[in-house]
Amino acid sequence: MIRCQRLDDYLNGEMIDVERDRFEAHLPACETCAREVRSARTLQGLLATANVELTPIPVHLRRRIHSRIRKARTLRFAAGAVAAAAIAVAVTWRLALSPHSTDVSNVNSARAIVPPEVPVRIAFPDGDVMAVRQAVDSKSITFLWVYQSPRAEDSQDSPRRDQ
Amino acid sequence: MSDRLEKWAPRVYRSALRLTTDPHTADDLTQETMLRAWRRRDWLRDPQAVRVWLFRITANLWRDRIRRNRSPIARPDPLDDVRAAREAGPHRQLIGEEDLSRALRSLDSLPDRQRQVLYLHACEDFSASEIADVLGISPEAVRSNLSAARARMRELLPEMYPVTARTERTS
Repeated sequence: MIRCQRLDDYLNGEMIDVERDRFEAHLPACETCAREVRSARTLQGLLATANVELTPIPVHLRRRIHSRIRKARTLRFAAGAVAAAAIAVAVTWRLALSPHSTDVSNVNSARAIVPPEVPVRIAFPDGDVMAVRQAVDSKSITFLWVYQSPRAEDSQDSPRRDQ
Repeated sequence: MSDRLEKWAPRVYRSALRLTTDPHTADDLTQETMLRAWRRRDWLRDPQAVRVWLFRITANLWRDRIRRNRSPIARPDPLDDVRAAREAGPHRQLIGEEDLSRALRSLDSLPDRQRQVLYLHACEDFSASEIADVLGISPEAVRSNLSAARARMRELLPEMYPVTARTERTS
């Protein structure tokens, strides 16, 4: 009788494994609970099947979702690239305004920050951006190639591959 | 990442449809849910939490719309709109097309809260505590609505409970 009082807990999926096993073990001897469980399973199976079969997602909706996500991704990358470029400009501006900007030590320190042709990853919340300093014959101007990091996208996804 | 996220779209759409009972509103809710999920995709580290998280976004968006009166009151029977798009499946021959249609019509005829909790439990296999989390109601409210929904469905679909009917006749 005590176990029958937990029928709703069983039907609602609120039992831990041990409790569920114990409840199921008493079903053959309890016609009332067995009937309720069979009814609930019948209903659940019927609704689950009907839900999937009669409610397919419209094709246009799939396309629209894909399109909106792709557009959002492009905008995010553009924002990241602009931010990276702004950082590069700020660093260059500071070096140019420095009273010791022509010192070799300063130029070297700038090169130490962004060595030529060595990609540097700049992390942003929405995805990393790679920046590569291009070698130019100037001490006050720095050109950077900025592009979205493909490995950044992979690394974001990697913990979720088991979905 | 977006591919893995987009695979959830059909389930989000079905959930939105059962939540709103309006295909057009469900369409909007699904798009907003998927876009919001993509923007916050870093929260998707825990695969087990994804489905609850997605359905909670949908439910929150729906609540926001109701508060702002942006959506019409749910229509009683949206199935006519989606029925045209259905596809043949192996289960139909076993259960019967009309049975499936009646089951969904009966589900959609339930009061809002009963319909929502029964859908999430029967079709998405959510526990009562997960449903409470998604819908933002107490677990007690989930349990009482589930019991009421089951009882009402039994009244609406008596012939689909052959075991129950046979047992009750013989007892």
